[in-house]
Amino acid sequence: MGLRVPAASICSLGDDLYAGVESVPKAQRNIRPWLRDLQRINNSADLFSVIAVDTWLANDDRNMGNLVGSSLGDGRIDVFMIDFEKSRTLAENPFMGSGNVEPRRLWPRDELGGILRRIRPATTPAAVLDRIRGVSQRQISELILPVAAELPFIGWQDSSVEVLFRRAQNIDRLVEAVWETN
Amino acid sequence: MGDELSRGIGKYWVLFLQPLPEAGERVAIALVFYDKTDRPVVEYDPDFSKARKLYSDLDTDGLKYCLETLRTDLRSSDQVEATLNSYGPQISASNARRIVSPVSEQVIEMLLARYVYLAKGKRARKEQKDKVGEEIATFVRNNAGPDIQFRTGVGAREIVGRKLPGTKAVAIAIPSDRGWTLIDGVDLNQSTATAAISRADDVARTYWNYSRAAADAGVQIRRVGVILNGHSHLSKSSHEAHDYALHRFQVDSDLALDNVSTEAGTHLRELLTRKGE
Repeated sequence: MGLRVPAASICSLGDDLYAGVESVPKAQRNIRPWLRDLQRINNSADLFSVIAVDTWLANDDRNMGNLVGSSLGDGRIDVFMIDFEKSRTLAENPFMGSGNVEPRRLWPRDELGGILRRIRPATTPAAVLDRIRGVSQRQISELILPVAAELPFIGWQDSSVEVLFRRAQNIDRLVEAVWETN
Repeated sequence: MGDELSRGIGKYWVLFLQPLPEAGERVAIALVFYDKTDRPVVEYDPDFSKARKLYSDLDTDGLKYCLETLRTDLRSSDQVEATLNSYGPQISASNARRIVSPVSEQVIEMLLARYVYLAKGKRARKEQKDKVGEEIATFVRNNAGPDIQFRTGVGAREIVGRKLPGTKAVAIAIPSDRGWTLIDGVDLNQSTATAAISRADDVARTYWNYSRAAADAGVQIRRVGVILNGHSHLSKSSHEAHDYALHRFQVDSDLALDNVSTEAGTHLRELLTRKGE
């Protein structure tokens, strides 16, 4: 979707399985100062693109703690998005779970939400909406099914694929609702 | 009495950079001072020499930006520790440490040298400068009397109430009801001709800046430039340094004193006994 995210993989430690992600290079774990001056954030548009992606995934856990900066060496940063594991479309009962998330809750929470409300663009982020809308059911399947195959306890992958495809088709309306209620 | 004591105690915090907090490795990068007379002050080495020794790819521009943002936040907040903690986890603050208030420039420099600066050479240069200051203090005592009360190493925050670019701590500062009498200079016995010229430039520049800032600050400042042992050396470079320092002090001081003159002590006593003009 064009967002900066660290590469992820299924990892094991002993008999246990974990979701593992690569470290963000030259990580700035607290990007609060940079949010004061968006000129210092190389990909500042992604701060709003991620709201569209979170809306698609029905992830209501976006906050300051899951944005990580990556120093570019000149006082500017790229922002990486991490922690998508609360996405209701990817958890058990994806239809019910995602349907229960109110649009208001899909805006980032707490301090991050307040900062982004003050600087948000009037319109929803068109470029990322185009990309989400253009995702086919097959592409979603190719992403979801290989991962599910590695995780024996998952039995809802087909539902996840379907709900993600439907939400992608309706992404403009879903994100408009988030914009209107926040 | 408790109030009196608490009024004389300030606090400071050491700020550490810990790029990977889990690793337990950290390096001091800045100090925050709070003496209750002013807003908290953040002091740091803008080159981050010590931190760069450990982390060669450190984004110094980014770190500087962070600390400047912190400085702004501290000016507008009454919650010093909460503000410091909001910059975690890669910048962490020590527990508050007690310090005598008001915090002088000399103390700030000493603590910066102890915690933040890397260069030992800088410390050595300061010690050399202090030696000149000691000689000037002796000159003042010999001519104004052993009971004269003065302060050493006083900087702009105390003199005009704020940081003042282009100034350095002065060797001797005598407070009065209306302001300060500042005394500094050069000693050709302690310094080479080149070092003496450099110090004369520093002192003159410091005095020039104070003369500009004094009216705004509502403080009366009298400036005295002293040249010690300017004729004790036979070399032409020492004579030139003496003449140059005298010239600089005549331009940028209220009183320029050459200790070879028999009237130097008289002029100093006259100035110190005048209440101000």
